[in-house]
Amino acid sequence: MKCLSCGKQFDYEKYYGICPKCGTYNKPATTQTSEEQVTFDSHQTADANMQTQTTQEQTTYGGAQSPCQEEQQPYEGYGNHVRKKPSTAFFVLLVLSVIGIVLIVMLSIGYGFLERYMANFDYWQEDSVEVTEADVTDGEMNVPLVLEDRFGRTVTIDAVEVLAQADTVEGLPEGQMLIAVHCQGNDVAELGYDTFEESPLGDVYLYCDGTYRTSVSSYYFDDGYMDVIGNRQDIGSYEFMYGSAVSGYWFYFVPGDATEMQLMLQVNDTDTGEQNGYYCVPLALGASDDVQGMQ
Amino acid sequence: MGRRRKGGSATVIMAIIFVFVLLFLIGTIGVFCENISHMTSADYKYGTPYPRLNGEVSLTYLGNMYESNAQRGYSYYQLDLPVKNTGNGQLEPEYDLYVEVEGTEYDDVQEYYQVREDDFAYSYMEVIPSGLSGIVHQVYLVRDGVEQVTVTLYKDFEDYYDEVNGETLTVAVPAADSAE
Repeated sequence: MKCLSCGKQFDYEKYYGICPKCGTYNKPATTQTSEEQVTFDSHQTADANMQTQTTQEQTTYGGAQSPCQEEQQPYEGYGNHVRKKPSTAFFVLLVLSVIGIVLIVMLSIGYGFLERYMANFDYWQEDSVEVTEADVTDGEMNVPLVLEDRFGRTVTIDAVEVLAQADTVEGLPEGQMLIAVHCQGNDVAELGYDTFEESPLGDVYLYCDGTYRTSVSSYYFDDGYMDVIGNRQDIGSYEFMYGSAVSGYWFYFVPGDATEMQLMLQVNDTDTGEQNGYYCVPLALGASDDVQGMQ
Repeated sequence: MGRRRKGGSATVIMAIIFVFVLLFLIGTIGVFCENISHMTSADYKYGTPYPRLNGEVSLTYLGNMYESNAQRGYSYYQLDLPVKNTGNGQLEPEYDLYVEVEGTEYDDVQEYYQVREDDFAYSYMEVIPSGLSGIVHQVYLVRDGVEQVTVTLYKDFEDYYDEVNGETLTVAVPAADSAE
C-alpha cells in the first residue's frame, strides 16, 4: 500500500494501515476512496470531524500541522483509538480508599457517641465520683512523714518563715503576707528513676481561716521580687518520685493577720496517683533561724 | 508515549489519594484509641470534684462600696459557703462551683466579679482538696430592701444549666445597720 501522505510503500496488513515513515493512518482501499487521508490525534473531535467531512477532505491536528510532524510517534494515534481500561490496581486502590474514608467517618461518629456516653457515665453518676472522708493524719514539724511504706520515702517540714509582712512590699497582694515553708526529702538508694508511676506526694496546701491555698511558684518572683525570696528554690511534688535527697521551699500568701495555719500534704498512691490521705502539719511562724543559716 | 502516561496516571493519582486516606485513618485510629483509653483511665474517672453543702450558708454585709466600686440601689455582701468536696479531684471554686443566688426578681442579686491586675494575680488559688471541707467566699450585690435570697448549689454545669438537682437554702439578708 502507498501512503497517501508521504508516498512510502508499506505492507498494510503488517502495519495495520499506519505508515511506518510518517505515522499517517491510511484506511483500506475497499472502504475508503484512494484520496482520503486521515490523521488521528488525541483530540476526539478528530473522529467527529472525520465523519462529517467529505471524502476529499483532509483532517489534521490543529489544521495547519503537517501529518508528517507525527513521525516520531507513528503508533500513538492508533493506540488512542481504543479506550484503555483502568488497571486492576486502580480499582483495588479505589476500593481501599473508599473503605478507609468510611472507617474514618465511622470512627469519628463513634468517638462522638462514645465520648458522650463515657462522659455521662463518669460525670453524672454520683457513685462513680463519690469518695469517702479523706484520711487526715496529724504530723509535726521536724518529724519525717512517711509518704510510702515500701521504700520509706519521707518528707520533713523543718522550717517556716515570714518573707514579707502584709503591705510592706509594693506589688505583693494587698493585705497578704508571704511565707516560705522549707521541706526535705530523704535519700532512698533503692528507689529507681522509674520505680513509681506517680509521685507519693501530691499537692501541698496551706490551710488558713477555712480555706486551702495553693503555693506560689518562684516564677512569679523573677520579675523584680527576687530580693524578697532571696536564693530560695521552690520544690515540686514530682521530685519525690525519685530516690535522691531533695530540699526546697513552698511559698504561700496568707492573710496578714493569720495566726494559725496548717500545711496539708496530700499523699498519693504511687501506682494510680489517687489520693490516699493527708498529713496535717501545724506551722509555727518564726522558726526561721535554721533557714537563714542554710542560705 | 504521552497517552500511555495519561492512562497510568489515574492509578498514580488513586495511589496518592489512598496514601492520604491511609495516613488520615491511622491518625483517626490513634486519636480514637488515645482518647478512649484516657476516658477509661483512673484519672478521668476519679479526677472530678464534687461539691456538697456542708454547713450553714451566711451573708455578711460589706457596705455600699467595695473595692472602689458602687452601684446605686445595691449593697455588697459576702457569701460564705461551707462546701465539702466529695469528689476525687481538687475543687477550684472559680471553675467548679456552680452557685445560683436569686431574689424574687431577676435583678435582685448580681454576682460581683473581682478583677485583679497585680503581678501576683492568679499566682495562687483558694481551693478545696479532694475529700476535705472548706469555706468558699463570694461577693454579691443585693438590691436594697431585699430581705432574703435563695442559694442553690449544683454539682456540675449540666445541672446548673438545666436548673435541676440543686441543693437550695434560703438565707436572710442582714440589714446594713446590723452589720455596722
